[in-house]
Amino acid sequence: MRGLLGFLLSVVLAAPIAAADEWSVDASPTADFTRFKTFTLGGTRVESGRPELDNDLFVKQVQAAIRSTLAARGLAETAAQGDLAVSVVITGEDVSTTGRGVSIAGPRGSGRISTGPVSVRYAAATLVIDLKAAGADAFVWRGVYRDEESTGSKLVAKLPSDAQKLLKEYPPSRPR
Amino acid sequence: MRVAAAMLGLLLTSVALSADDHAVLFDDHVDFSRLKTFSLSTPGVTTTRPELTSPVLASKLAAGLRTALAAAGMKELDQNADATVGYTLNATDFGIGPFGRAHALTPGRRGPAGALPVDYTDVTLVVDISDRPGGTLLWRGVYHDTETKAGKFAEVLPKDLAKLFEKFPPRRK
Repeated sequence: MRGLLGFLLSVVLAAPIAAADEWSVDASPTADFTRFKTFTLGGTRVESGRPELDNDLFVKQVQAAIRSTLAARGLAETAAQGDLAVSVVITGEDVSTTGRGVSIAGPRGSGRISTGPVSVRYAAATLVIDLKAAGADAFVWRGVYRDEESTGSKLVAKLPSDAQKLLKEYPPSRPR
Repeated sequence: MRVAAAMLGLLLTSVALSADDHAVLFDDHVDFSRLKTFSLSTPGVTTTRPELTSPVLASKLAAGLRTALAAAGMKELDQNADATVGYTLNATDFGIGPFGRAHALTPGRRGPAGALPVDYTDVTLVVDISDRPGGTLLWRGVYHDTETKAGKFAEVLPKDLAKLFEKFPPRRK
């Protein structure tokens, strides 16, 4: 009985948690990334009704993560007219869906009792980082990270490191 | 069998039980010890739920703010304070549809979701501390609380507010 209880409890606790991250980067095949030495951090736009995401303090956290990662990749920040203009858009989404419920054995001979589908809600955000080459007026690199977390506070904690994960892919490892 | 029934009940309410969440954000370049005084701004309550528009709840939350800030060594002033402190409350009712999905219930909504009864209510409490001269946001605490009975918010929201201030003032990194 304890085993069954343990199993059911674990299902109950895990039911609302959805944690599926997906990310990709795309780079221009014609851009010469070796010529980019500086960057300028432009606007960061947050499109979310969540107050933990839609505020200047969170934006500063994401921008600090971007600054430190680009600096580590050999790019120096300039206040204006850098070789690369960095723009960031974060779009939040509250998802309401269902998850599989559980069924347990009923009294002897009565078959199984099932909860049917259970309500699952989670917070998702899509982070898009664009790098645009100065002068050429063309986007040369885009990173997209979709993060799904069970709570908004986890999104707040994760998105700055998601930005770092994307930018660690800069510059593209080999010419395309 | 009773255990199984209890587990089923627990499953059905699991979302409501596990949905409380809070986050605290602050500017880590700010020395919060320089904030010696504060003034409270008018609360922003964007719900018509009488449990949340209650003046009693408003006074409890204001008292909670005063207690938390006094514990951090800040004094209240009517004007010209170093920081402005305010809170907002927002509520959304949810109904569980026939296939188990939670629908946000908005007043006047049509269609099947509009006819659903309220199964639980999400309340978001946001506390902001801003620099008085410039109005720059220095600290934000966000608490999402979910309850199946809206009457419970009067009891839990002051505790939620206290939880946001557990580590106030934040230390610079």
